[in-house]
Amino acid sequence: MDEKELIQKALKDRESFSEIVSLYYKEIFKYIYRRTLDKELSKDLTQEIFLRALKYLPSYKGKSLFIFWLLRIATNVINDHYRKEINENTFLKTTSNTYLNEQDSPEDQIDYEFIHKCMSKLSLREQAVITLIFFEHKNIKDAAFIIGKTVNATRRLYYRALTDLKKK
Amino acid sequence: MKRKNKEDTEKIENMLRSVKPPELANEEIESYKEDFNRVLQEEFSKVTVQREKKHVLKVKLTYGFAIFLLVFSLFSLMYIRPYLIKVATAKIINEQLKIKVALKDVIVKDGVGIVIYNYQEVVVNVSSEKVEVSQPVEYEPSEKERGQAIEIVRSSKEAKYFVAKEGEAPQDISKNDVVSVEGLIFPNSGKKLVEVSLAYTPTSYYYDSQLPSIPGSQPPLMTVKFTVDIEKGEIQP
Repeated sequence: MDEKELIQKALKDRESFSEIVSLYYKEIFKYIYRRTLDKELSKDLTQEIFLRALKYLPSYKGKSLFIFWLLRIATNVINDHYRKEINENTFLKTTSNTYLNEQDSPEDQIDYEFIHKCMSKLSLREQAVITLIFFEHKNIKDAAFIIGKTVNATRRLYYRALTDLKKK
Repeated sequence: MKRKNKEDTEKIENMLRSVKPPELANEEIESYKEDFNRVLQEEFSKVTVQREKKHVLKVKLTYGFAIFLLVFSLFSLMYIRPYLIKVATAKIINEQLKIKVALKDVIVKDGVGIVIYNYQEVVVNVSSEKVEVSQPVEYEPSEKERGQAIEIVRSSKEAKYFVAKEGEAPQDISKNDVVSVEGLIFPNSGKKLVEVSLAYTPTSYYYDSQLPSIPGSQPPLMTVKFTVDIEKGEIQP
């Protein structure tokens, strides 16, 4: 059974949808974890992503790879989550208190956690672009599709994110 | 400066490429996946039912919108189009004949605008902006039309306060004899006008009873013609 048939079947058949989950859960979870560095949160958000995917499955027309469609949902779910946190004023507090004072890490000891802390100061779209390009190994075109922007806008976003990261 | 920026960007790109994202144990992710599959057992039917409901609602809304569009198109054909023709007719007559026409005086028939003006029928084809002027033809009004026309004239203020010449005092000629009743019909609109002629004596006529009467002498008999629009129930100015 090819992917399209499986998706078509998954509209009404739970087993088929479980198969889709098996195929993509790991990749989606990893993407979420790279954006959040929080396993519990990643677990919750991944669950939300697949439930959202189930809900909107009829709107998937097969114009892109299914994983890109899922990553697009994932990006929206993460952004929604952080926007909600920003509104509740908790995210900003955490980031400003914890991460800002830790920029004295020596360059040769740069690890993902430090990069993640720096990235958390970027806009949600910039974070998504950087994660997709450097840690999910997507090109600009695919990243553009996933974040729902044009290629040129995504390229501008990418360079702005790099410039902002330089300042951090 | 540009070169330095480029170098800095490349540096940061290289630095990001060198960063290794955290690796997670496959078993751990598998256990999360199993947890989710348990959630899915409960949620799947809920979500599919919701989706089905949404789909039904969407179909209903689409049909509703299509019906609304249909009704709106019919409504537009019935009311909006005639109104637009009236506006266009008034505009074309104003431009070409330099006559101002009130929208209520424009008749819309078979997609053309018609205005009765000064005993003439002005037919305007709004799409080609073509104006045709035609004359009415005489016809014999029915007894009912005659009766209605006479009644309208007799109860009109034009007959009750009739002024034959400027400067003369008004006189009531509403009860005077009817001399003639003639009908006019306009060929395109089918609009009918009835002309009612009433007899009257000019107020300037002075009858002196002391003067010897001249045999056969009669006060001068004059007539005045009122043009009646029976449909509107009024006298045409």
